[in-house]
Amino acid sequence: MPCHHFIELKVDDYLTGRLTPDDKRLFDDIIGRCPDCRSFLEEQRAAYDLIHEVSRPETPELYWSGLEKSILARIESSDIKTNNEIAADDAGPHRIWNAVIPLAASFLIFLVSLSMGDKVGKVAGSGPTAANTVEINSAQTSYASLIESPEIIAISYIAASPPGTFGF
Amino acid sequence: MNTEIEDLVRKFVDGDHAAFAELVRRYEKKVYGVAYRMMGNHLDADDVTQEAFIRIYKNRESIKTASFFSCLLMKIATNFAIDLIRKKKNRFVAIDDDTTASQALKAQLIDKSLGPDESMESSELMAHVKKAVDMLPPRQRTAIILHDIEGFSKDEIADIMECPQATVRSNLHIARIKVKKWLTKNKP
Ligand SMILES: [Zn+2]
Repeated sequence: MPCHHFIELKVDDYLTGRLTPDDKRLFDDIIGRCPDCRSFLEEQRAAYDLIHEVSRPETPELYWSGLEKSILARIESSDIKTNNEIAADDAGPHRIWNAVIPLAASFLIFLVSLSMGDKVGKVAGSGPTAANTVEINSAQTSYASLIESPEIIAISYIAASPPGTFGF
Repeated sequence: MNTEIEDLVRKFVDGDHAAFAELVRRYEKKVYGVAYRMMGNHLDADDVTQEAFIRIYKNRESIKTASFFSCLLMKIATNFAIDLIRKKKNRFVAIDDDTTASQALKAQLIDKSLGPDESMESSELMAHVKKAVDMLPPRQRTAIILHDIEGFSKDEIADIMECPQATVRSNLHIARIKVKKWLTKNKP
């Protein structure tokens, strides 16, 4: 194995002190006699030493208890289910209602849009769900400002992600 | 992985809420730390942290061991963070991502060290290093944060990032060279 292959392979373990004694001896030996390997190590070590010193973000203790509460509340309040539970539910007898109810709701909104004129109908057709559409309309919220909000980006992204996006 | 964590993970998989709450307490700082360094702001780091725990809760039936739990948690967090970064990519000027390992090796031979006259205040330097890390493309940023800052091994990072160890290695080496070059070019 050429010396620089060995150094490239082992440099990260060298920097983090994970080399075996045998590898450490060989590593030091190569570094002592090969200027190219030495210069590679020096550069990697200079960057590692700087990056390694980047400190943890300062976060007040109060934040952590709030975070814990928020996560647990999301799990307890909503109907978060495991993937197996979702699969079991999908096979259940009420499955048909999952299809019928949104269809009925869409039809209802269509009727409302016909009776109220063009404006509501256009938004109802483009919005993600009937409930969101009503909220956006009634609050007169700027859709552009909603899109800029990271929470909305995250929520809409999660909603739009096909299964498997996050490795499942 | 200690037996206490093994025990908590087993209870959590069986649906024990108290065990889950304890796991959140034990791992939230680690997840948030990685998320914050990847996202560069509190709001997104908070979002990534919450989502990681919600998603692992949903997927708890696939968890077999405590080490798998921590790996899966970091995998979910970093994947979610990478997706968020990509969505916001237009807001960043990324350090170019087309450098190959061999180009990087050549680059390191011509690159110069920072030099003694370039010393600066420690906190200012750290802020600058953080900025350089923020400029890295998402996968190089993930590898360097997990390895050089959080101390994960290349094996663990390969699991978390779902790629061969050789890819982790080249991401690390290229990322370090880019950070150093960026610091040399962009003095504060
Ligand atoms: Zn050599």
